[in-house]
Amino acid sequence: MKKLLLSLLLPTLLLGQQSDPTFVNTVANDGQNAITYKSFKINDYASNNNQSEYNAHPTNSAGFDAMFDYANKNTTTWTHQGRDTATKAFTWPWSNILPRHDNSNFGWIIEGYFVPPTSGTYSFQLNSDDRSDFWFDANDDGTITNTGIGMGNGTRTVDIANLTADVSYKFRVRYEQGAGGANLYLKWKSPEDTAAGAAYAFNGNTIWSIDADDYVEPLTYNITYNLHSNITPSDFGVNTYYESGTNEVTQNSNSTTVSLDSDGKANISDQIDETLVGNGKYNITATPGNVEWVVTYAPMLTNKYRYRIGLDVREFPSGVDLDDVNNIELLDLVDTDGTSTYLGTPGYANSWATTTSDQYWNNFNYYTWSTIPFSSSNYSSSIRSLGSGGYALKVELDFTEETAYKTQYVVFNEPTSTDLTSLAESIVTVADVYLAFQELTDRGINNDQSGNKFTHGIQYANANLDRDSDFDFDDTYLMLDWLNGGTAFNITGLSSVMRLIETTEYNSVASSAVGNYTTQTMYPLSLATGTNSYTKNITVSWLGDVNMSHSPTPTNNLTITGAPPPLYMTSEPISIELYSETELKDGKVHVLVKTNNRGAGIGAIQLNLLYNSSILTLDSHNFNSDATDFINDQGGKISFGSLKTGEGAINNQSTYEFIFDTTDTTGSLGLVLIKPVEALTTNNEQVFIELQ
Amino acid sequence: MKKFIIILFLFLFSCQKDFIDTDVIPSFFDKNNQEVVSSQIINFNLPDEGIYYLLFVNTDGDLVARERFIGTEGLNSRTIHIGLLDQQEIYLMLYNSNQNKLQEVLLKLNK
Repeated sequence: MKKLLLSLLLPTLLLGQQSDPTFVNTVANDGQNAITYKSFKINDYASNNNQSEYNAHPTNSAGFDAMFDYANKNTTTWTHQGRDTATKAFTWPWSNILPRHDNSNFGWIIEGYFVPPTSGTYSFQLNSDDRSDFWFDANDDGTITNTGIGMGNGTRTVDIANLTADVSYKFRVRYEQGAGGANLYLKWKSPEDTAAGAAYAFNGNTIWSIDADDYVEPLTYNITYNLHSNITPSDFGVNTYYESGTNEVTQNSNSTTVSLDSDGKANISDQIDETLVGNGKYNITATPGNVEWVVTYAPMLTNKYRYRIGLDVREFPSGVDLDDVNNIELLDLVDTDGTSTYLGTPGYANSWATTTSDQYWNNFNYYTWSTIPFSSSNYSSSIRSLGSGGYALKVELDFTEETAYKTQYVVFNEPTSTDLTSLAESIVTVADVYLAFQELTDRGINNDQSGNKFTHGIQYANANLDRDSDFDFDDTYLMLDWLNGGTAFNITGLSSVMRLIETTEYNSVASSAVGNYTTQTMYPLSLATGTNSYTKNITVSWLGDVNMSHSPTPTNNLTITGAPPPLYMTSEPISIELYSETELKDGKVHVLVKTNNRGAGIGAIQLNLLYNSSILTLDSHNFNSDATDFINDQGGKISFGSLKTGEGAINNQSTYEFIFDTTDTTGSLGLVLIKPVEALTTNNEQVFIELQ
Repeated sequence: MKKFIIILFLFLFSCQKDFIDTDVIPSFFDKNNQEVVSSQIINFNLPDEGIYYLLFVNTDGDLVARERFIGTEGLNSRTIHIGLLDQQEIYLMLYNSNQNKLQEVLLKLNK
């Protein structure tokens, strides 16, 4: 056992082997204005019996080689490595330079690629304290060579000729700092700079951490949710999900909640699963073989040239048929996605279509403007005439499944049921219901816009509470039911009320198309291979928000007859009085609420009555408003009020009486509070409610 | 001697224990501020029998709640409830049926 341990440890002990420092990604990804570096502790004489192993200030390339030979030098330790900005590497000051163990006796190896924007001779200037050297792969053969720019302190220049624009030239800078003053600058002049007499300058965009040709732009996905100012974006967060089955989604393993910022923006780039998977679509390629797996028949000429082509069913993988095929290439004879546009637009995406198949052949029709060139094919030995215009192809059929991103969605997190209820109550109030009734009263039924109370198509969608294809009395019934605490307007989750529409589409929602806009909390990402940057603008509106108090106003108005009244008027606010009192009588708490509308012509009013539910229980109520009254006792809070569902106004002086059973007969002050929600005139003007 | 007797009498009289009426209950409104708990019993005197109102009024002067009650002459006792209030401080005011304010006290709510 001891031998085994020694055999394992001895190499390490003998060679003084160091473990590699952790690679630090100060710059998250390879790309522009980035370099990779190694940082060393040098001149560490104490680790070598106070003996030096190399020149503290190299005078040649070999001196640097020895200085950074950490594996074989006791006086050198590799302390850091990572990726950082080129700016930090080649500009100064001390406060922003690459990592080092200390401000004395450190050294760096900095590597990157120089990608000239234009072709020609570039003049480089290296300025350092203490010493540095500069290696460059000027002929782009993969090997860097010493530019011979010199080793001393101070400024040195070198011209490198015949550089080609956009080619990535690997380079390396080595640098050492003993003690005292320090700096490192790399600057250059392009041919144009030189011609213009410009000064040497550094430009981080010309430096890459990898060959620019190998650079893959990272996928970025930014979404801006357009929310009404009455909705707080930071109350919401999103995650990404992938489609894991029919009507089934599963959260991406790399998805963690991204909260919307104050502008409703969410960057979900890190939440997306970028794995490409088979999408069930296949490309068929026929190459010369030994068996006649393909037959073609004489073309029909009525539709230009329509060939019926049969593919032997035995060549198809299990579970794959022609409906799963995206493209077919048969030798140099047929290429369904490239040789014909006969049915391209409109019609079939590729100029072919499946046709009748049998147990032996999967047949498809191939449409082309010219005949298939059997006689001039380069594969004549694989083609046999069957007579009467038919041919057999001696080929092998290769099936390649196409890959794509998983179908993914960005999905709003579900709020708590308490928050959801509160949200819904704030969105759908008596003002929405009243406006909906007004639209109906004015014949705005079935989305025909003649009500002239709705000014945007999305209002018909918001008023479509029963989620059918139009706005009608069924919806206003649900609204009244909602005000009365009914459950017909079923709110089982955020997706019951939230509606997501791409903003450009939201701005032109037609009243006749309200059935197309379902509520949802998930929106498809629509990822496509080859596209790496996505910006989505999605507007959030709410089912039940008829008066648009919580949904952004679309930029395009409806084309409607008549001038719609303003939803709100704020210039000279109208106010009404609200009186309330409690009284203990006959062992019960009586609550009296009275309005004095001052002749304002009130069309709708909604109030909340908060009560101490541990002491009070609602026994009965009696309203007198000459309007449609509603009451919704939620235990501790009663939403109540009135609205006119036809012409006219609510009683100028309405009364709302409540009688509560109580367990406390010694006082009622503070057991009940009245909170105004809103009131509107018959012209839909907002009214201020003064508590008297 | 007479003087001595008189002085002695006065001395003895002055040493007699003061009369304290232990049945008098201080009015809740006697102080400018009162700290109250969730369901607080308050006592106060009324000049006459009749209709009175107790009001919660916030520090901006806005009415928060009102209770109507029939008071009796002399000492009255009622319970006020602060559990629904979201304020830290609130005024308790006593009005008569002529809408004249009789008393007020600033309540520190200890919920």
